[in-house]
Amino acid sequence: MAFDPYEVREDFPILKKTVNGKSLVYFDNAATTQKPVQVVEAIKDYYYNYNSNVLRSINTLSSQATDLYIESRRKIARFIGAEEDEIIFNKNTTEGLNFLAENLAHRTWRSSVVTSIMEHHSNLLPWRRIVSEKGGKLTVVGMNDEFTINMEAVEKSLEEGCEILTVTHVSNVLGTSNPVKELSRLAHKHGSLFILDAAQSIPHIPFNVKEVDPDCMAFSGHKMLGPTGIGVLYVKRSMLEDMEPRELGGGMVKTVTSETQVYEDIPFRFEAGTPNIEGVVGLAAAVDYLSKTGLKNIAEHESKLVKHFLDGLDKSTIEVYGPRESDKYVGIVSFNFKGIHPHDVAQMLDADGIMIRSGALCAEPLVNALGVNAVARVSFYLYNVFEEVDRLHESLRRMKSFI
Amino acid sequence: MAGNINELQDLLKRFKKPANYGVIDDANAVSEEADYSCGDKVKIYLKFENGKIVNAMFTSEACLFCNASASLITDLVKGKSIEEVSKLGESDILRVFKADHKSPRYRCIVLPLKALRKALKDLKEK
Repeated sequence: MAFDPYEVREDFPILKKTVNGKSLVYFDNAATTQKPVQVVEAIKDYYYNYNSNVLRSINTLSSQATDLYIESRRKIARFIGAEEDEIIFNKNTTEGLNFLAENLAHRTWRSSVVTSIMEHHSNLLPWRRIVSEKGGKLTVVGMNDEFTINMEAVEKSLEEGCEILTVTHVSNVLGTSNPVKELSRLAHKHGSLFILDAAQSIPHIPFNVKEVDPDCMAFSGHKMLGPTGIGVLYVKRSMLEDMEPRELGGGMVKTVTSETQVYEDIPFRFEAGTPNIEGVVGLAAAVDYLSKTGLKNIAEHESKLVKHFLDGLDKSTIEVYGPRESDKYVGIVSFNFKGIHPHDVAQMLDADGIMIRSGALCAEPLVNALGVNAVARVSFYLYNVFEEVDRLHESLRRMKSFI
Repeated sequence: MAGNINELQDLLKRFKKPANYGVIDDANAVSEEADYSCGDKVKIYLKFENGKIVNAMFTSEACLFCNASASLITDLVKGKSIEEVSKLGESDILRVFKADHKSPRYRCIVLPLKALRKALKDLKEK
């Protein structure tokens, strides 16, 4: 099916909104994405027609809600090439990564953790805390000239006995993509676990866990057209069978006596309490939408938008952080306007109806490594079009007269 | 809130080289505040003599609003006693920017005030 972003836009009512007297241009998709009618309708349909607790009651409504819930899980698992019992629902990527750090520390603490300078705080702080509490070593490897992870440094750490390699797939600041297949192969060759923060890749590029082979991977629903408050943690079945649930209570046990209990099978063992049913249903609708549109189409479209954005920049006023080749970016570009703080750039663009993000982007070590303490970031998605990028260029050009 | 492009442009021109930017080598109080969510950092230097603040300066790695606010604050405190300066409230500064606690730039604007309060506390304790 041919991809037409103008057709896609019809599914997103918010894009017709006016902000500060101008039609909305939404370029903050790495923070969160807009939701199509299909997702909102799916949630509405669930509440209007099926609302009931799942996996519990013997009644028709509960059985229908359970079917919907299980089918949604199947769709979401299939979307990343996983088996349905290998994904745990939680609230977001942050919770997934914290769960992993705590769980690995709780069961079989592996003392040597390697991460990178490119990480979002959520893939650094949980590991740093575990290492400081349980002992061990945390190594933060740097970047190369291509603005991706320094593979020599990774290999050296693996040779020195790294037991957990945990890195981001696509950087939320730079938009560059790390060579995950190679990282996975290297980690496994040296007997290390390979953990992936896929928050910025799953929504934008084709991905299959069978090909990349991470041991664990976390991502968020709201960054891929789904609702907020629903995240996915993928853990290989063999590893998940071995993990201890952290939260205990309803829905995660088979039998309980006054002395002992038998936990549920995976993945339900890790989903204590009533789950976020509307979130799962909404995310399944988002996954349907993305699958129908085609991740390859989305990736190609974003790549064109990045090229158009980079090509039209006035290099005398704008400094871009990242590689020269536009095909190295996965829909995200960070930059600074010489002489104007990024917050002020963001606010001036806002006055023109253009929404971007500015600041340290929850990745302060990386932003500091770029030699600054804040950047301006634009991030695209399937519903953005060239005309919007042109408006951004025009606003940036006008700013030149301000300095 | 100074939201329209002309007001922003005015601020940008007025505070491109903000007054009182720099270091006081023999300051009696120096305090730094940072907002890690946005990356702004500001440092306030106070020189205190005979019961009055005789000089105030600031350095920063910050946005226009934070710099403008620091520049205004360091102007306002000169020649005043600690007691007088302690009365300076958030609303006094926010008013200048037509902002309030709900404005998107609230944190940028009040950051220098937080630094000032820390410096005043140091002075009182000395």
